[in-house]
This record gives sequence, C-alpha cells and structure tokens, in this order.
Amino acid sequence: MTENKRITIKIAREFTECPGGRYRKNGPYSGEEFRDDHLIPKINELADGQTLVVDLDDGDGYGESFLEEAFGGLVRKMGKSVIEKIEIISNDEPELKDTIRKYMENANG
Amino acid sequence: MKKRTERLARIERLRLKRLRRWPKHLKGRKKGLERIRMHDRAAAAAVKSRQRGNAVKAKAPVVFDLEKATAEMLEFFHTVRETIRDGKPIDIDMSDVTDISVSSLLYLVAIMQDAKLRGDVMDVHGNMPVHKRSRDIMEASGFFNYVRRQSSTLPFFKTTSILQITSGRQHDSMLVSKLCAFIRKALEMNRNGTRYVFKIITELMQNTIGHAYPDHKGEDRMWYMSAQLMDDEVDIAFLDTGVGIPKTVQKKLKEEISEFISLTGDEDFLMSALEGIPNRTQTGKRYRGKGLPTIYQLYQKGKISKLAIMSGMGYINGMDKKRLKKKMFGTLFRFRIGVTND
Repeated sequence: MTENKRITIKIAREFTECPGGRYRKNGPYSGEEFRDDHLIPKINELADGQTLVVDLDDGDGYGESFLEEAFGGLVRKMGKSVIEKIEIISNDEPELKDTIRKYMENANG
Repeated sequence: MKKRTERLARIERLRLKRLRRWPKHLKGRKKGLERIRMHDRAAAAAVKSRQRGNAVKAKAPVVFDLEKATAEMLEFFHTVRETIRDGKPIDIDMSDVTDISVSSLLYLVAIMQDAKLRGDVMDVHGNMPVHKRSRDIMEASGFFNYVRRQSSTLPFFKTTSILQITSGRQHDSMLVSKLCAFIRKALEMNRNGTRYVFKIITELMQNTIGHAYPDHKGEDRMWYMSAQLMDDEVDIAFLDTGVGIPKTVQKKLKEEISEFISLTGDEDFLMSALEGIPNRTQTGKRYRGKGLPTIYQLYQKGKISKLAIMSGMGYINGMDKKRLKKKMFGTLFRFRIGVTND
C-alpha cells in the first residue's frame, strides 16, 4: 500500500551512470536534460499524495552544476510546492541529500 | 638554349615557392609533405636550411614541469607562444630535458592548438629529450596525437601509467568516466574513491564552457586534460586557454565595490573565486558560485592533495597564494588523488 505512494527513478539505470554539466547545449546528460525529459514528466504523472523517489546511487558521481540545474531548476520551473513531492536516496554520497535540499530551497535566490 | 634555361629557372622558382610552405608541422598536411620529400629531398633540405637559419631557438628547461620550475617554464612558453603569434619559425629544443610532466606538455599542445584555431601559419620544429624516461613519457602522453612526428624510427612506447592528453569543446562526461576508470585501475580503488574526481572535472568542464571564453564561439572553447601515475598517486591536470579566473572574477566583483577594492592582484581574485565570489541569480538575488569553492573544500578536507592552480598572474599552491612573474594564458588546475585521500 505504501509502495503505491512512491514512484522511483534511478538515475544510473534510467538516465546515465555519468551525468554531465548544467545545460543541454553544453553536452549530453546535462541537468537540464534530466530535469526536462525525466523529472518533470514523472512529477506530472504523480497522483495526489504520491512521492517521486530519485535514487542517485551507482553512478560515477555528480557535479554541482548538474544537481543545481536539475533540482534547483525544477523549483524555478514548477514552484516550491514541488519540494514536498521529491525524496532523495543517496547512499554513495549521503551529503548530496542536504545539498539538493539547499538547491531546491534557495532556487529563487 | 636561353629558352631552356628560362624554362628551368621558372620551374625552379615554382618549386621553391611550393617548398616555402613547408614545413607545416601540424596534422593533416602529411600527404603534401611526403610528396615534396620524395621528389625534392635535396632541394627541400637546402630550402629548409635557408629558411630555418632565422628560426627562434627555444630551449626547454631541463626540468619541464610548471610547478617545479615555474619561472623558467613560463618564460619558455611565452617565447613559444609569442614566436608563433608573430608568424616566425621556431625550433623547440627538448634534448636536455631530464624531468618532464604530462601536465606541462598539455600547455604546449594547447598553445599550438590555439594557433591552429586562429588560423596562424606555423613553422614549428622540435626534438625529443635524450633522457630515456622523459622521452618515453613524451611518447606516451599523446603529444604526437596533436603534433606530427617527422621521424617514425622510434618505437611507440606504451604504458598504463599515463592517460593520454584529451581535449574537447563540450562537456564530455564519458571522458570524465574514462579518467575515473583509469584512476581506479592505477590505484586499485573502487568507484567511491573516484567520485570526487568526477565531481571536480565535471565542474572544471562546466566552468570552461560557461566562463573561460566569454568572447569566443563554441568551436574555440577548448579544454585539455591528462593524468599520470606518480609516486602511488595519480596527478591530474586540466587546462583551458581562456581569459583566466582572475579576469572573470574582476568582472563580477565590480558590482560588489566593497569586496572589489580589498583585492589587488590576480592571486587575490583567484583565491576569492575559490572561497566563493558573489553572483546573481536570474531573479537578481545574490548567491555565491559553488563549483570552485567545492573543489577547494575537497582539498581542505583531504579528499585530494597537491592542489595547484595557475591563472593569469595568480598562483595558488595549496593554501598559499602568490603572483607569477609571467602570465599564464588561461587556467591550469593540477591535483593528485591517492589511496589515502578518502
């Protein structure tokens, strides 16, 4: 029953193991590409009360610019209410959960 | 008889005119050069001798390493860069080099690639170090993927301790992944051990694309990268030949007068960038750039070691900052990662 309230997206499996930079024009696997082609469509699929779990594990790592554009940019596009719909899993780099949280909270300045 | 002499003289003039274009030292001209060589070896030698009599002689420092012999190396690179820019022939003499780092070859490659991108006519000759280890490193560095070798008599030296010089114009996360795989293999570590390297190089690529070349078109925005196993650590170098961090910082800080007036030299601006310069979001509110400070924090936490950054006249060596005597055109990042950096 609880599982129905969570949709998971694993970046290493569904997007790439080696994420790129900030913008799509900078090269493949950018934060912008991940946000627009994967995150936002998944969020739009969420039913009321559902959460999107973003699993960051099993990749090579993440640049700050990728994370800021993907998650900070998500808030800039969809508003602060989207923060409550996102849950982060990061066992490889636990500090990324706080980093992403800060990017989302400070996205508008 | 007179007609025949005139005809022969005309042919000779045409042949010499063609030969004056030789030698073009970069890749992609080999076919024409080989043809000239086969037919006119003697004449080419004579022309070469006359042409190169005026060539600038640039003797490479014995220690060919920007950190170990900073002043001499920057002086040498200035000579090479300025001579190429002036369109003069230059002979680079590497014969006495006994200690060479791939990261310094990176800068030499970048100087010549920059000239190529500008469309400069280059007449650059060079030789190899006599010292075997230095020669082997030069061979294995990938230097000759960028600069054409005239002699193919030397056997190609293969090693697993060097990741050849690579370059690009875009953010290439596959290449960063390849670098991490090289480090994992060299140091026998798992993926967790290279996550910081992935993060750092990703940020440096992003900075190159976003800030290093504000007035250039996409095709000129080049970055260069290399890695070399040294003393149980991997030495990583990342270079761009853009405007340099101090100039970028100065431009941004002019809005923040109070912070701007407290900084005087390139080394101050460089340190300021590492500590986090003010920036503005699209909504006009202030935040501090995260990429470079993150890299510096990783150094301070011991995740990487021997961090050295040269940019403009500024030089950061670990926690110390100083002013260079000669300008570094662009920005060179160098750091090491070992099994103890966890």
